[in-house]
Amino acid sequence: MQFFTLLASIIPLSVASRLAISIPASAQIPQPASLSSSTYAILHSSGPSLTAPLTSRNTFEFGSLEPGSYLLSVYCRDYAFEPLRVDVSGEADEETVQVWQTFRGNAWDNKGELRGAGKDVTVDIRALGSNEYYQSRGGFSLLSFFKNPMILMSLFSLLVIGGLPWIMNNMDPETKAEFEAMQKQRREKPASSPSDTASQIQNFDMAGWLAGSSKDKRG
Amino acid sequence: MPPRWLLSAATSCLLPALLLGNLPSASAVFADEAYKSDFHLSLIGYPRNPDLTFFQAPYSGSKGSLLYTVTDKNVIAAVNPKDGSTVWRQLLEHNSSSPTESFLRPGPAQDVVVSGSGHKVEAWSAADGKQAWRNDVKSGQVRDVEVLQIEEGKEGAEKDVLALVQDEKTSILKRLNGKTGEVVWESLDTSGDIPFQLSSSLTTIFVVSYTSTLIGGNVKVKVASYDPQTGRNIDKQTLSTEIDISHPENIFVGANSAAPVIVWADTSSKTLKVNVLGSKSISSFSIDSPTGEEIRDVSVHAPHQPNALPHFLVHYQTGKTHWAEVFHINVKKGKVTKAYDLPKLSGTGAFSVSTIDANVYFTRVTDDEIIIVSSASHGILSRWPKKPVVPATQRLVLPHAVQASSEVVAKPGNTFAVRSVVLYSDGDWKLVKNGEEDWIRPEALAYADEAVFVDPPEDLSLALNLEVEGHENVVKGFFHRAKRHLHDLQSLPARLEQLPQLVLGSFFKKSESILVRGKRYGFDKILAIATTEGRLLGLDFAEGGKVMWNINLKALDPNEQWSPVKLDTAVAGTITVQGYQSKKVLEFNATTGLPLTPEQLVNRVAVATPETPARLSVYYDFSEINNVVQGYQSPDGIERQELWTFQPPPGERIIVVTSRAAHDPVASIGRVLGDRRVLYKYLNPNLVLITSVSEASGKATFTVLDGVSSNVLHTSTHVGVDTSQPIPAILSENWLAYSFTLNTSSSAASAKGSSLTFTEFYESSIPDDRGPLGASDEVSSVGKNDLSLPHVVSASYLIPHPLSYLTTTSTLQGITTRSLLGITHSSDYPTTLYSLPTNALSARRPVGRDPTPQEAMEGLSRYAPVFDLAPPWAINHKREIWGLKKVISSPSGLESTSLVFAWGLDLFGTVTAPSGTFDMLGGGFDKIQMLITVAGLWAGVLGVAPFVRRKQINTPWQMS
Repeated sequence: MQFFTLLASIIPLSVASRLAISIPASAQIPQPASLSSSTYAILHSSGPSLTAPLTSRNTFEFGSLEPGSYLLSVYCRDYAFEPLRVDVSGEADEETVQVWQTFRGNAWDNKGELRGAGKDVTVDIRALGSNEYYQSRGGFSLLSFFKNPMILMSLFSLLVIGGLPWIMNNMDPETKAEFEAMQKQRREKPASSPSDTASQIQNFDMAGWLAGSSKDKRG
Repeated sequence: MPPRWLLSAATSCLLPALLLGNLPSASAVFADEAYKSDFHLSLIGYPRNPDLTFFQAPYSGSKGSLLYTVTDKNVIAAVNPKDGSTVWRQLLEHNSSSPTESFLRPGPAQDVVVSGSGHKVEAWSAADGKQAWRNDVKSGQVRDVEVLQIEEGKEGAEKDVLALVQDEKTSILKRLNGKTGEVVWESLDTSGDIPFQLSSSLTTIFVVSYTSTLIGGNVKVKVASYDPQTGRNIDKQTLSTEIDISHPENIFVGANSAAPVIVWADTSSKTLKVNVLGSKSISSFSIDSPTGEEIRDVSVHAPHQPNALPHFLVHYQTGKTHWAEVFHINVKKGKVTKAYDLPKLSGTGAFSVSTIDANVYFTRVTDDEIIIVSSASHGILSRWPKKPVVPATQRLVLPHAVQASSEVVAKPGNTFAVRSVVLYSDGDWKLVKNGEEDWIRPEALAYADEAVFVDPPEDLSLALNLEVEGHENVVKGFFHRAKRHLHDLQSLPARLEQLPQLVLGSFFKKSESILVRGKRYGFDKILAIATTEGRLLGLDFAEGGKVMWNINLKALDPNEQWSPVKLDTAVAGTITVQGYQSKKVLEFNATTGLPLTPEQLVNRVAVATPETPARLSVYYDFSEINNVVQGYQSPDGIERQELWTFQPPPGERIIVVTSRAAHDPVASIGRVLGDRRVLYKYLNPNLVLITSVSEASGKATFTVLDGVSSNVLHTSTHVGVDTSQPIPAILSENWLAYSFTLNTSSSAASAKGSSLTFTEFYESSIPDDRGPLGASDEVSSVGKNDLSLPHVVSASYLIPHPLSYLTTTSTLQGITTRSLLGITHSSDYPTTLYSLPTNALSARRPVGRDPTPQEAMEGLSRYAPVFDLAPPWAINHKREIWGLKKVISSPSGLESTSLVFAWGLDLFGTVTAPSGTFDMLGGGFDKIQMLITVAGLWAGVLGVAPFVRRKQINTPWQMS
C-alpha cells in the first residue's frame, strides 16, 4: 500500500494562466447562443495551433498557455471576427496574459488597444460582420433600366416619331404651309436622298452607326 | 407603365450590354444554385465499440432521442436516428500522430455526453454539441472515462465523472464534478502498472490494470478498489492466475453494473474465465466448439446500467459459424452460472445488449434475421426476417454484420420493437428497424485516401458502324445504313412520348439538381476512391456521390497492403490501381467495379496502342531518404540513364516536388495588356518546383528547375517559416503558387499569419517581345539558348487562414481563367474550400500606386498586402466540411465548368465556373420571360404592319 498517495479533496491547485474569449451580444450577433458548435478559436504561435470550441456560455476557454506571442483568430461559418494578439509572459504558474488588438498585414509590434491583462483574463471579441457567401443574380431594376444610354436614345427617337405629327397638327396654318412646301421641295429632289422614313429606318446601318462611321466618310 | 412584354423586350436587348459590362470575376455560388450544384457526405468513421454507441434523449423532456457515437477517427457525433444525418460533430485529438483511444459516455446529467481522449476530458451539450466543460490532463493519456454510479441521498442529484489517466509510470484516478468539470479528488498509483479500465458498482470504484510478466509475455491483472467519496484506496489484489493472452484488449471488463466482471478466454480459446470484481475467485467454463472449428473471436456483452440484472452474454465466432452463451451472476455469493445457450448459426453475427428498467435483452443480428431474447430465458421474444441484401452479382463477398448497438422498446401486449445500428464489413453503417433497413451511411468513405475522376466508357458502337459502312462496297454499305436507320426508328415513338415532358420540364422543373442536368455535358463522371483500409469505391458524381460499388482490394490480392495506392485511369471507363509495395496493378471496370478479365485487357490494349513515335521522356524521382531529386531517361523502360541530380542547400530537406499536371492546356500564349500589346507567357512543360525547408533556421526555399536541362530558372527563399505547418505548392500554365505559415515567435518586426505567394513567368519583361527566343524557329532546353531565364514577377499576400493543399481548376481547352483551389488547414474545426481567381492574385498588380487606366482595363487593382479570403470565394458556401485534406479537379464537357472533388473525413463535390457559365444558360435565365418577349415582339409587328402598309401605299399617291 505504500505506493499509493492520496490527494485529498483540497489540492493546491496551481492554476496556470487562463484565457477566456467571450462573444457578447451585439448588433451583429444579437443572440450569440445561436452560433453553431463548430465555431472555434485558434491560437497560433508556432507548431500546431491551440484550439478551443465554443462553450455553452458563448466563450472560448484556453487553459495553461505556454509563454509566447500568439495570434488569435476565430473560425465561424456565419460571422467574421477581429484578430487579436495574445502575449503570455513570465515563469511557469506565474504567467501574465495580455490581449491586444492587432491588425492583419501590419508589423507584429504594431498593436492596438490593450483589451485585457492578468493571470485569468476574460476578453470580449468583436464581430466584424456576417459572412455573405452567395452571389445575387442581377435582377431587373427599373432605375438601372432607364440609366442605360441605349434606352434613353430609343426613348428619344420614340418621342420624335410620336411627337412630331402632334406638333405638326398644332402648328399655325402659315408655318404649316411653309413646312409642307419645304417638304415638297425636298421630295422633288433626286431619289438618291431617300425621304421615305420607313425605308430609311429599314436601311439604317446600325453597325456602322454604332462604330461611329458615317456614309460620308466611307464615301 | 409600359406593358410587361415591352420591358422584357428591352431587357433581352440589354443582355449583351450587361454581359460585357460586368462579367462575374469570381466563381461565387449563386443562392439559387447552392445545394443543387454540389454534394456533401458528412462522415464520421467506424464506431469504436458497441458500448460507446448509444441512444439518448438530447435534453430532458425530449420526445425523440439521438444516436451518439465515438468512432476510430476520434469523431464524436450525434446522428439523427430518423434519417441518419449528423446533428453535430466534434473532432477529438485529430492531429496527434499516435493512435489515441477515445471514449464517450452518456452524461451524468441527461443533457450532456462526456468524452475522453488524449489529454482531455470534455462534456458536450447533447442537443447542439457545444462544450459544457473541459478538464485538461496536463500530461498523460486518458485511458477510460465513466460516470460514477452511486446513490447519494436524493434522487436526480448531479452525478460525477470518473477519469482514469496514465502518465508514464503513474496512473491517476480522478473524480470530476459533473457540472463544472473541476477535480473533486485525485488518487495516484505509482506502482507502474498499466491502467486499463475503470468500472464502478453502486458502492465501489474498481481500476483494472495489468503488468506484463517476464515469462511468455503473459499478463497479470490487478484490481484496485477505491472509495467513491474520498478516493481512498481500499484494496488492491492480483488475480491468482496469470492471464496467458497476448493482447490485453482481449480482456473484457464489464463496467457500471451491479456486479462488474472481468472475462477472458485463454489463448487456445478452450476455457472461458470469469472473475467478479472484488472477489478473488475465478470461475472457469470450458468452451466447446461443436464442430471443432477454430474460434476466431470471443466477445462479451454486458449491460451498462447499475440497476440492470447482472447477466452477460459471450459471443463466439468461428470462420463459418457463431453462437452465444448467457451467464448469470449471483451478486451475494459472487458466483457465476451459465444460464442458456443461443443456438449455433452459420455465418457471422453481431450481438448487442439493451435494457428496459432492470430487464436485459440481447439482440442478435445475423445474415438473414434479427432476434430478441431476454437475458432471463432463451425464448425468442421477437423475430424479424431481414430483407435480402442487394443482388449478389455486383459483390464479390456479401457483407456481414461486424458490430451492433440496439434499443429495444416494449410495446403493449408483450410485443417488442427494436432498432439496431449495425456496422457491416463493407463499411456501411445501417439502422435496421424491425428487420427493415432505414438508412445507410457509407462510412468506408471516411477513410478516403486517394481519388480520381474517371470518364464514363465511351459508346463506340456508332463509330464502329460508320467504319463498317465506309469500308464495305457501296451497295452493302447502303443496306447496312438503311438497316441501322430502321433500327433507330424503333426508338422514335418513345422519343416522341418523352417530348412534351422534355419541353414542359425545361420550363417548369426548377428544382432539378444542376449535377443531374449536367449529365449531358460531361458531369456524369465516376469517382474512384481508394481508402486507407484497402477498399476501392465507385461513386456517381452527378448523382450526388451515390456509391455504385464497393470492393475490398485485399480480398482480391491479400499479399499487397493496397494502402496507399496509385489510382489512374488510362482508358475511359477503367480504373488502374497500383499497390506501392509490390507495384502490382489491378484494373477495374469503372461502372460495375468488376475486375477486367484478361481478354478485355488484351482487346483494350489492341485498340489503344498509340501510333505516335516513342518520344524520349525525362522522368524525375524524389528520394526522401537521400534528400535528392534525380532526373533520368529510360529509352527502353528498364534501364535508367541519369541526367541530373538536384541537392538542396546544406541543412535543408526537400519536402515536396511538384510539376505541371498531365492535363494542363494553355489556350493563349500571351497575356493581352490594356494597350493591346502582348506579354508572352513563359510556357515550359518541363517545369519542376522543389520545396525544401530547414527546420533549424525556419527557412523555406522554392526552386524552379527546367526538368530537361536541370537549369535553375528561379529560386525564392523565405525566413520565419513555421516548418511544422503544411507548405502546399502548385505549378500550372506560366505561374506557381505556394503558401506557408509565418512563425509568430520569430522576429517581431514582420507580420504574422499565413502567406500566399503567386509567381508568374514571362518570356520577357517587355511587351511584344519574345526575349532571346524571339527569332528562333525551334526551342530546346539543352541547346545554345539554355541559359535564357524567364522574366519572373512575384507577389506575396497575407491570408487569414493557413492553407494545407493547393491545386487549380481544370477545363477542356484551358480557355477559362484558372482558379486556385485551396483547402484551409484545420484539424478540429470545419475546413473551407476556396476557389481564388488568379487574376485577383496577379503578381502584376501595381504596388504603391493606383493602376493606370490601361492596367485597370486588364483587371489589375492596386496591390494590398492583405488578401482577404472573402466568403464568396468559399465554394463550399454554408456547408460545413470537416477534415478536408486533398482536392482534385477535372474538366467537364463544358469549357466554362470544372468538376471539383475534395476529401478528407467528409466528401465534397461541386462544379465551378471561374469565368462564369458563359456556355450554359444559368438559373437566372427566364425562359418564360423570353417566350413572352418573342410573342410580344411578334404581336407588335403584326399590330404595326397595317399602318406601315397604308403609309407605303399612300406615299406615292401624295406625290402630286
